Amino acid sequence: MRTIILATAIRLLIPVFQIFSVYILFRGHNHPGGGFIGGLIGSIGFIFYVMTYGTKHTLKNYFRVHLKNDKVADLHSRARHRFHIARVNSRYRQRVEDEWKWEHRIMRIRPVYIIATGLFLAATSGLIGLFSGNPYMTAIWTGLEIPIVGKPGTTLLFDAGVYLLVFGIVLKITFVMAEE
Amino acid sequence: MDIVLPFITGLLFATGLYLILHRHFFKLILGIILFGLATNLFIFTIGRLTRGGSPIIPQGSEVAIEPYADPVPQALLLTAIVIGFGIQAFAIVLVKRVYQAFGTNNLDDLNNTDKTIIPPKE
Amino acid sequence: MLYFILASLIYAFIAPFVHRAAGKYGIAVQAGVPLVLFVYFATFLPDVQKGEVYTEIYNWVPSLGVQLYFYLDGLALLFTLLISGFGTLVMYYASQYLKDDAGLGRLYMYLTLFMVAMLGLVTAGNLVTVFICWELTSITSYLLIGHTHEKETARQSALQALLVTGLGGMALMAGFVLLGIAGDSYTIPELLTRNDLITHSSLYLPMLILILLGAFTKSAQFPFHFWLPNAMAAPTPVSAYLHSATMVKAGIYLLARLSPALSGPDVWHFTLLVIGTTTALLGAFLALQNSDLKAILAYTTVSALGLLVSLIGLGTDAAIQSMVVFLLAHALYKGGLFMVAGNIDHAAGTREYPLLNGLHKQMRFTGIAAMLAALSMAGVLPFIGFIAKELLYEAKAASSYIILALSFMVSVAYVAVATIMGYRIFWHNRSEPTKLKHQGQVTMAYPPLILGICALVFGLMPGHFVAPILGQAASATLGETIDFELSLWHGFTPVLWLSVLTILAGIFLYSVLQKKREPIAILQKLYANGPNKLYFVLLNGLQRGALHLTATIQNGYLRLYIASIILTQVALLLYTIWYNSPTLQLQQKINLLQDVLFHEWLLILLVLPAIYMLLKTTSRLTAIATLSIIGYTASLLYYLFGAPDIAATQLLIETLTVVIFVLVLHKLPRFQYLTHAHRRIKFVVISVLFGATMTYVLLLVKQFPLISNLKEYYGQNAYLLGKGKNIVNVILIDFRAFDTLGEMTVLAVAAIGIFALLRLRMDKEEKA
Repeated sequence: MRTIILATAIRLLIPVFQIFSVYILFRGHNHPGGGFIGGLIGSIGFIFYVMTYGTKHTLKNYFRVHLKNDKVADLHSRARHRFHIARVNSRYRQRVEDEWKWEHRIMRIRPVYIIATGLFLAATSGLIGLFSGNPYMTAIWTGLEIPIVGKPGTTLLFDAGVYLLVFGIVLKITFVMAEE
Repeated sequence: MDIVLPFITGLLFATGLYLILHRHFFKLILGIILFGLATNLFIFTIGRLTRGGSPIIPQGSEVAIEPYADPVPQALLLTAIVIGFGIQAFAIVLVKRVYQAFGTNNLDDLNNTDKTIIPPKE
Repeated sequence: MLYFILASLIYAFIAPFVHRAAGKYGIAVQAGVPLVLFVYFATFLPDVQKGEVYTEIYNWVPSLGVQLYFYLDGLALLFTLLISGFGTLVMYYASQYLKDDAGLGRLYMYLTLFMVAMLGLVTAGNLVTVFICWELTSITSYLLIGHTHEKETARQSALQALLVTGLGGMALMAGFVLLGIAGDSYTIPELLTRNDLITHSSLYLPMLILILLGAFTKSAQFPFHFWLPNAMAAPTPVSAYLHSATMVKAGIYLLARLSPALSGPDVWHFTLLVIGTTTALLGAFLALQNSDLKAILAYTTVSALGLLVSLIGLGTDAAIQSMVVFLLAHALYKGGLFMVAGNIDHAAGTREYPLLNGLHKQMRFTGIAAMLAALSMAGVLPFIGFIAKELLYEAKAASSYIILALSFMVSVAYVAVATIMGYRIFWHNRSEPTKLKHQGQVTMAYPPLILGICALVFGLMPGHFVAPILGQAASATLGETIDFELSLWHGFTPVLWLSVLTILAGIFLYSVLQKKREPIAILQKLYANGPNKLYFVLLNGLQRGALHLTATIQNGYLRLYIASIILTQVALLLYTIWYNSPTLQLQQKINLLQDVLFHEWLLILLVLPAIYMLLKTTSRLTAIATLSIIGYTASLLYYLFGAPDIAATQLLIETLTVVIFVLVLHKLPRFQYLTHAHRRIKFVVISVLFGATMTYVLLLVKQFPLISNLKEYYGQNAYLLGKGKNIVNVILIDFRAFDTLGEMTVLAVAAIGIFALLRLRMDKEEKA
């Protein structure tokens, strides 16, 4: 099923799908959209990628985070050390001058983790209401008014949980089906 | 449309059930999917049909303005569809696994699999 | 009181650890707990003896009106003292009897649990708490009988006891509910004052039958007496505690407790009297037929319980007075005799009394204890057993001479049994004394000795120790205050001569028994087909029936399951429609056809050929494609009728389904026609029937207006309360967020299921 047009297009389209799905997620409160639809859209990009390139390639490209860890730690303070590592991992991902100092760590992001994060986020979003003295799952809003999102509140956290869960589940199913 | 949709729903129910009753795995999956679709349509139709008028509060208003569709069955359906998908996927994987493990595509061959799994006593 | 009982409850669970940690000295703690309780309850004696009632009320489940209500009057106090006092002795006895048993710690736990449950039962002032404690005693009894769970018989007996008393417990619960309805209260003190209301209620008879079922199963009354002798599979300390002194008396307690509320109608007195007397005779008779010491004691216990029930049934002042005295006397001598039997079993390795001879040299203290208990059982002069028997005869003589004669026969049997226990085994030197495995241990003889001495002291000075509390107990049972005096010597009354006659007849019976030791064949056959047999027939029948039913229903054919579910549903739906017989206005419906717009017709025309193709095609790919056509059409329908969110979801899901099918298509089986033509016709009939029913239901439903305020509510409040304008989304993530969370969990579980299936394959491949 690998055609050059699809293969090239899908690589460009994945970020578009991602951005669009997040847009749909935020938009959901006032217009059609929301976590369920957003999650589905977000995963569809990856599904096409899987169909074109296969599971292994997808996992390698998108579900693996390469981290660099400072082997030679000069521990002035732990916080500074952390900050140093975080800076290297975020800004200078490609080029590090003294390569020998760094060891590579690979972290796999499994779909099950995404599912768990989604469920966790949704379940804990209700706790905020609980701690403010109301029944569990009472929504609480900030006073801000942001263009697309509207007023952000705990419901947005809940919706994000839904998004992650649906996203993770569809990915999981796809990977299972496409393997072998 | 109020008069036609019940017949369509009934037809889908009948087709889905007919496919499920077959012994073949593949038809079982098709049947489950159709049955789910029919159920969703059933709920949707019971909640009354409203042409146009989606349940979204228009700009500049604080309450919904008639005519708008009933949002309650819609909220039910939205999750039902996604869950239905999860079930479908589970059924597909299950059928695939059974097909690989037992090499049969006939549901009737599975009615004594429990006995075969028990390892013989030594 | 709550704290004492709660603390003991908690202690029960740490008892095994205490046992392991403290080793030999742990017994001080194990026996200390019941001792503390005994002392605690004894502090209530002065107040209660004056006729005061101690209560303690906590709200437990206020919404159901269930309180934690402690109600301590004379009757309850008598039982609490018996339970905790016996508990102390039994704990000590168990520590000696099961010295080397690995399960001793467990036994302590169960014994303590049982004791707490029993204390809860007798102090409870609320029917619900009574029932809970009642069931707890059944469960702990099950665990205790099955203590030696390696043995088949122990397991079977434990299960039997649990099933019989458990079924009785269920009946009891139903009876309590009826009692609560009839008496309009679940608290016992209130019920006790409402005798008129209860006995004149139309529910009285069913309520009485159910409550009596509960009490009779627990107290092993005929025809449920069979479980008690079987329960002797338990270790002897358990038998001594549960099955002679305390648990089996729970039924007696219940009858005595509820007697002021339920007594009055003839049916109450008559049933109790008949069942009690039958049980008493049967138990005495069976006791003489057996040669196993524990079995003999078990059957005499059954018999004694029968006597107690018949006394409650008589219900006169004298009968109740003799009931409470006999209750105490019986607990003292029977508990002691059980321990004696246990000692003999422990030392000699057998409980068959024909094999036992002249043990007094080797087991002197046990012998003395046995003699004290036996004398009390036989009703010889200075013991409390004597007073009990005198009162018994007086009470029975006052009612009817037939009953007196039957009681006399029972008492004669007791004397014979007492002679066996107290004389035959220890002091009868006809042949060589039996060889013992080891010498009798003095420590094991202490508990029965203490009980025997108590029986003697209470008998010598009845007015000092026991009369006040027994008087209060009798008053509580009668529901009115009575004068109660106990004295050892009544003068040369006819009853005294009857006592003397009893003893003489008993000794004569004993000598007859010694000569003739062959069981009567016809009777043996009768026992074999008694209630015990019936129990096993029922149990096996139940098991076989369940197997048969499962094999029929769970036949392994998926389509039969589905067809039966669907057909049942159709039948129920059609029945409801037929029953309410709403009319379908078809004419009006046909007019609606004109409303259908052109593009909607187009959609329908898309669905029909798709379904046709789906049924006809032999290609899997075509099937998937046609399926997706139907799905996309549904999506468009949603969009047309004001549901953009669902439309989008359906569209995406449909796409995903197609993609997933394509991914796994080559791994799925090909199409084949497996089903025969005639069977297919059957399927078509079922399917069409179902589809038509659903259509009919839909058409009917749409004929009636939708009555729901939800649409309006959400329309009004989505923005004002939920701060969102997409009402569906607001419902999902705000108004009904908890539901959504549940649905998310379902999805996550489905994903885990898929994951598990995948793992299954991996494991198999590794093995292969």
